[in-house]
Amino acid sequence: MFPGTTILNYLFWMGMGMMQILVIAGAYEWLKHFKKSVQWWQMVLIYGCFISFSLVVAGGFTLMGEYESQGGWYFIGYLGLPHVIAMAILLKLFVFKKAPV
Amino acid sequence: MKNGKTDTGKKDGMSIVSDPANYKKHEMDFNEPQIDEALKPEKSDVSRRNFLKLGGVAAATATVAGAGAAGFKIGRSDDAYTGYGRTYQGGDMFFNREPFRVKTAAMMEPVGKVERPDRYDFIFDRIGEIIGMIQKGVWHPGMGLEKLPGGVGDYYRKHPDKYPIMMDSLQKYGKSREDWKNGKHLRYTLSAAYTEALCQGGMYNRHGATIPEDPDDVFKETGKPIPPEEWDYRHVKREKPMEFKSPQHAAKLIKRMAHLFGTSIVAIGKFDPRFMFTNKMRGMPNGGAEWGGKVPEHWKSIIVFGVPMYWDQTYSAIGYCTSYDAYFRSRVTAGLLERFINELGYPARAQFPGYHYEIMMEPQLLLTGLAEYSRSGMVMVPELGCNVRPAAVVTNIDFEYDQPISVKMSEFCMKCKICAEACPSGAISFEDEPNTVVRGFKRWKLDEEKCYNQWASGQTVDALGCRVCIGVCPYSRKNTWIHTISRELEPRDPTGLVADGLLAMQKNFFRIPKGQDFQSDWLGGKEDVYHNPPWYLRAEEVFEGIEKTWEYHGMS
Repeated sequence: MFPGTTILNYLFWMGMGMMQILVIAGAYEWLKHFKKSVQWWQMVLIYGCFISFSLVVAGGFTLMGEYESQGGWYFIGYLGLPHVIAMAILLKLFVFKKAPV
Repeated sequence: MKNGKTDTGKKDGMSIVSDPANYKKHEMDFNEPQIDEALKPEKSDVSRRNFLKLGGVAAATATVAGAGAAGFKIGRSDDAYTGYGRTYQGGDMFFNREPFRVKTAAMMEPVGKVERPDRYDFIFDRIGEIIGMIQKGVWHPGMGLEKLPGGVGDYYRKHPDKYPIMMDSLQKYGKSREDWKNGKHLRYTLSAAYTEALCQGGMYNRHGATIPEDPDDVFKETGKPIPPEEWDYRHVKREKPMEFKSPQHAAKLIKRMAHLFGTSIVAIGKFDPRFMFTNKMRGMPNGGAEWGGKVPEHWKSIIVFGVPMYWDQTYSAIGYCTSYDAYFRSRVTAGLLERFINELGYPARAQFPGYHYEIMMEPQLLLTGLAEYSRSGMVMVPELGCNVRPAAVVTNIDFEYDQPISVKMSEFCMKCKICAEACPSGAISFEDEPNTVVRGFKRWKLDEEKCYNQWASGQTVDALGCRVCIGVCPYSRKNTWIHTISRELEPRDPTGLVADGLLAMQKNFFRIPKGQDFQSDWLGGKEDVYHNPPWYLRAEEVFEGIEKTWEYHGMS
């Protein structure tokens, strides 16, 4: 990814990994902000959907890197949209659920 | 008491004390404690909670952005160009075949009497003889099929439907050569120069083949027949060949040397004479037209290897593509390996492209587990798809042999048909299953006459090759993680859902021109390309005097 260097690639992925701690910690703070709470497995599902969406974006841009620009955008559109819908459903189910009557 | 006054009118003590008028401010007032400025805590603008909230959003955004950026860089990376980076370390052969070894490769189980191919089954021998006859004045197309002499005449009288296509090809060949001569194809100036550099500058010289040496060239120079019992031993100097510790040692060493000599993929198998041409032996009179069916005794093992054509050119077939970058490299490996084996004291004979063979290459790739058969008539390698140009060295060393594989590539071909849809000449079969029996084996039979018809009329400088089917094949993809996921998941999925999903994406997400669009403009085509050519082949961007009358599409 970084031609001419031998270390930047590793540093990049280490940084990406470290950012995930901030993503999850931030998610929990937002839950406190909205006075909500989720169980650990629900957070795993929500985070998993986010990571899967990131992989779709990565895949689409990989295709664009291979000069398949149409393929890349279609890939993100057709596979990304279900992720957005799935995330909305998960948030509705686990976070913004209706309080029991 | 009323209003702080007692009944007698005098003020009460508490009311005197609490009257603000009597209050005197002291230095040490407890309502306003005096604290050292230095000890006062700082007011922070962003609390820890806000940091985590905002930081979390920023990190999530950066993750998605980083994923996109990393994906793009990976797609453009040098590492993605299989065959042009990690070759010498053997790093191109990254697919682990061991879980997929089988006893018999797909489509290699005989369904009828197995017949060896004859020299006239090889289209280049047919073309060579016809053109030779025309040049010598022995025959011309106006004389008709009945008067076409020799074995080639017999072949076309046995397959009369192929004859008019071949004649049409010769006419189209003449027209396309005339176009090049008249400067019509300035657009392809750079790809033509690239092709000629590799072919005439690298592969051939005025004596014939540069590397490897070809016995036919020596026969033409000396007039002396050179049978394989002589040619294959020509550089052996040792009294006795070096003895390997075991067949496994031999196989490991030769494969490692093959990579060092420049090949991307290599495997070793038992030489199978079923796939050796009859009446074809280089170094003998008329290319071995009288050789018959003899199999040299020392042709025991076959080392099969291959390299891909350069990826960016391959995707921009027809006019911007050439086979010669891969031909040249596989010929170099063949020549060097042949000599290396001779130096160890063993006989060796290189089988190399474009037409220097006594054997059919593709079955050997299947038998050794390098590849599977495909709809287009070529073989498909897990690492390279159809983008592989093979060569081989035949020897008598005892090796540990590789076994065939089954990675469901042929099954994918049953559903895919993208190559057939994109073929400009309609030469590729649309049958769902390989039902045509060819010399005892079921195949999707390529109509090589129609295929050559496209070559002859195409935009290449030498009227050789089309390569559209190779470029559009979903397996012919560079080495990036998304293709690796497909490559690893698909053969392991018993349901076929992964293949269906991949095929749906391939057919709907990617722009692949129709077959007619690839053809030359004088045949009603648009000279379209699957990918835009790389910048270093766009003559109009480098040279003066080339008017750009065509459009590129998508990403450049």
